[in-house]
Amino acid sequence: MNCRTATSLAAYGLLFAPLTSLACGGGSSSSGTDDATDATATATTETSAGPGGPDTGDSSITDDTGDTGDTTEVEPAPAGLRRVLSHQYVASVELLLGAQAAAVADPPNDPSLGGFDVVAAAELSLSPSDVEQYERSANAIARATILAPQRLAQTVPCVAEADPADACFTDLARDFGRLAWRRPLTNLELATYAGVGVAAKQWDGGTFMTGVQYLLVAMLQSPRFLYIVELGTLPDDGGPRALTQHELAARLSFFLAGRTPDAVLLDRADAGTLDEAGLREAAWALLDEPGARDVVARFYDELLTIRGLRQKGKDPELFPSFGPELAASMREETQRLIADIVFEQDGDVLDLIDSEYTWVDANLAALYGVAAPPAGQWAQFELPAEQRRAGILTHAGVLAMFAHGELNSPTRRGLFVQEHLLCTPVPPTPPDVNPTLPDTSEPMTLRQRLEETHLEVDSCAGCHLQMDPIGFAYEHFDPIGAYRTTDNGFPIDSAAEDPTLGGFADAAELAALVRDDPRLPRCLVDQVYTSALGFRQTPMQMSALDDIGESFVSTDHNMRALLVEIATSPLFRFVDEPK
Amino acid sequence: MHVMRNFRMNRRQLLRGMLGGAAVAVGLPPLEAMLNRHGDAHADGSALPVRFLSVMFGCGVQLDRWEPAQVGADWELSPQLAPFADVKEYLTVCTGLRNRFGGQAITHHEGMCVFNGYDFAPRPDLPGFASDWGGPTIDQVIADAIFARPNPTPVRSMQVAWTKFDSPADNGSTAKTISARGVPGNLTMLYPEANPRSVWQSLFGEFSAPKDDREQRLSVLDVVRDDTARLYDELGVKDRQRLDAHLEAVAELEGKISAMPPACLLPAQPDHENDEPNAQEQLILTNEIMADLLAYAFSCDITRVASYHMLSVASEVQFGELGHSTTQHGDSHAGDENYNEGIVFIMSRIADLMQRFRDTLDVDGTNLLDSSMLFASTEVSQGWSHSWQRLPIILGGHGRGHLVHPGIHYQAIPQTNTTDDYTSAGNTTDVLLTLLRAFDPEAQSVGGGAPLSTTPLDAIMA
Repeated sequence: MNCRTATSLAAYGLLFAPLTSLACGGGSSSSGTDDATDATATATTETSAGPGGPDTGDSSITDDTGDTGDTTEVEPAPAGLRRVLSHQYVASVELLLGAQAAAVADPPNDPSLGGFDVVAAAELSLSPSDVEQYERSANAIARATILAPQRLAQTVPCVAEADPADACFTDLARDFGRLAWRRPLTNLELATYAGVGVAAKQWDGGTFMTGVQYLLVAMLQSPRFLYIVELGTLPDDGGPRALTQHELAARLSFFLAGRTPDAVLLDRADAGTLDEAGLREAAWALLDEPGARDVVARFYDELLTIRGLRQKGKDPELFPSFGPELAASMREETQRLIADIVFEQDGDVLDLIDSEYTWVDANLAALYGVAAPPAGQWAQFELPAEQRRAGILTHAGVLAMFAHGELNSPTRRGLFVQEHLLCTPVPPTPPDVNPTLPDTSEPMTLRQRLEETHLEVDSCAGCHLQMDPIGFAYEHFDPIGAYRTTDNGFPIDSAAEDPTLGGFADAAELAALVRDDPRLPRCLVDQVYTSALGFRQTPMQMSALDDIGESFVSTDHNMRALLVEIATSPLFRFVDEPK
Repeated sequence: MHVMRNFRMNRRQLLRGMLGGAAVAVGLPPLEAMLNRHGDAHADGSALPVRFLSVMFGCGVQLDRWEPAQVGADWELSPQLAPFADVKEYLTVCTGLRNRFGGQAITHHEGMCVFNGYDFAPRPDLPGFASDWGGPTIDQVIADAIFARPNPTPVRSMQVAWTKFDSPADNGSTAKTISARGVPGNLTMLYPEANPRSVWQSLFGEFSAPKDDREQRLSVLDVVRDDTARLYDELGVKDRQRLDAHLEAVAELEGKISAMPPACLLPAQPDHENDEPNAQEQLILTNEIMADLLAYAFSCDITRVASYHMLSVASEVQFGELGHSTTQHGDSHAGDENYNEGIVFIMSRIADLMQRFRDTLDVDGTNLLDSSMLFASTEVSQGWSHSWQRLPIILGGHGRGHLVHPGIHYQAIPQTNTTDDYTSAGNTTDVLLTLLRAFDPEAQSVGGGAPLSTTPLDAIMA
């Protein structure tokens, strides 16, 4: 290892450095303010007490069915608007107007806050370029629809008639609008949007389908389509706001199907049958549909950050096999294991952490050192015992995401476990740390380098002890997740100890410790809740989430049951005051 | 009339990467109608446009190789500023200024105050490093000033990006854009677009599309606006602000659809999409295309304001075109030769952009550096110390005589030694107020709180 690499790699690890130092590993810094900064003041405190928390009876809220207790100590997420995510927009267009229309749907990209797109969707304003792109997308969808109106005609049969009367525009606004806006239209809305169709038809010399086109353009640009509107209604007795039946149908469908509700679900809302029991039944039904698999896959794409694999860069000289194909295989490997455990086995989702098997295609077989299945096919295989792999934390894609282009980052791998899986925040790097490290030409492993700098300097060790030891467990796996026995020519030592998890010899032993940690299932509850509503929990949701956590444990961590439990909880069925 | 003969897009019509088709001809109003007979104002008496471009280049510089040795008008380019040799007369460099950020720092974020003069808004509810902009960025304040007067451009402002690879250093919005529009507490983030094809669509697509259904599209937007307004009353404060932004965007789209086609030949849509993985991005090409698209947009008066998010804070871009396998962020911590190469690479791209502006003739025969002002800076002065003082600031162009020309090296206070990246004086926000005065001569301040400026920097004004 040359001096430059030695210095830079040590500096990488200091991306997440301690909170109290003025200097870390190499002299004091002259930057920043004169005051030492206590970064803990900015850290979140999301860690819960885990299962077995407060009295579960305190978390219920009276609802319109009167079936869940009578206290109101829990505040649900605030009422308001949440932008339909881009994939939900496309899936909704496919349901409403068919595959040809969905193929040209091109909504704006989703920004992200806190790692989840849906948090940004609940918070950020649309920019002018977003609104312009929605207009362009709506026009393209409408043009495609009038060329292939078969799907629309299933909802609004009159559009397929030989010479429809103008009354068909009212049918279109009513029946298409109910699906697109997730509720019946008011008379004013019906008249307004039917009028768009009539006017466009007249503008084009009486061409009926032109009226259809611009009516669709209008409805697809309405905020009633672009935003999920969740306002609820205040009950007469002054209790919390309950979502309306149609709002519940929409919230449930976007959560579990990733799209606008279909006519069947809206019929149930029309009939007022989406009480807690009805909601539970509808949730289970949605989980049997293909869209639920996409929802779970997207959740893990965000939680594990593996959606970024396609554009992850690796040193082409060190890792010539890494490219878009291998990256795609990495992501699919993890998603296949998730789908297998959650949907095929309907099993314990914590098996993801210490699973002894996975899938490979020809791309991954070479990386894992196992026999390759035929090209284009996937095969399940037992993880090689000598590599001490276990679960998704040793999947190539996860290891690759939390590594640099040319070398590992035990710090980032450790931070990922702490923040993403255990919901244990680690304070950000203090602003006045000097990450310039003492230069050394002595050859050593990355671990030794970090132990010298991060863990032997008190000011660094405070935080890095929470991250680096966990990362050391994965030092047998290089920046693209391939197994190795040496680092920089020296044998690798993967044994370490985390202050909370305890000691471990390697990645497999660490996986067992992570799996048994009560923070793991409780953290998953928080993460799924955030991904459902775009709202990061505060202490006011803690006891209700604890209830869900207990239920999750009681089902042996069944992911589908967790999704249903969230969908039927008071946190899902009620909203707080509008934000 | 001589001026009129010179009014042309002095750009090759088929740019590198612009192979998607021939340039699109649009209706060309008589050029003679555009200027007064002296050629120094529009025929209606309104002033010729001044343009503004803010640039974020991220991860700092090496001050001992970046800060020029001489100050004032008689100065020489430093090694890391050498790429600007061809446009030096249009270059002013500010060093030693103090960033008056007054909040609690969280590393890399606080330096971004240089783009707006406000402390960032902390986001303790989000995991990891997270903050939002605390007030509008200078490009948007300037856009507000431009749009406070009649005859605004069809596009209020444009946001473009260079490398797509930012950093885990922000789970909020501060690191994701340098364009935040609105007022403190009610901001709309304008995220930059890294795909040149999409940038072209935003700038020129509307003027290249058939206009035969304009009436219908406007009619539909009328309905959408009314529908949006009906929803308004049911919402809380935050969501009302979001719908306000939505309504404003609808109004701007209506204005764009209604606008006259620009009086210039539109460029072809680029083929290049800038979608390569890290280390394989074609950043030289991307910069050329983005610079050309912005030059076209400014010349055609489609917009007068843009921001260019080259590198985010702590950017993890790998400069594959330099053969780097390490990231610029990592290199900035190491302070090594890779870091130097990366800085020179970035400076070369900004210099290339300025050359393309210099080579683009405006309607009055001047070039785009004569009519534009570029403001470029970064979140740390030197990557290895995370200092947010002595931030390097580049000013390009003079904005029709607003900034000093030829350019100077303004230094607020010297370094105490060659590694000193903390000693600083003045206020970086003063530079922003100076720039704003070109668009709003009555402007009294920029920013708020500790970084507030009420005193423009006279030394850099013409």
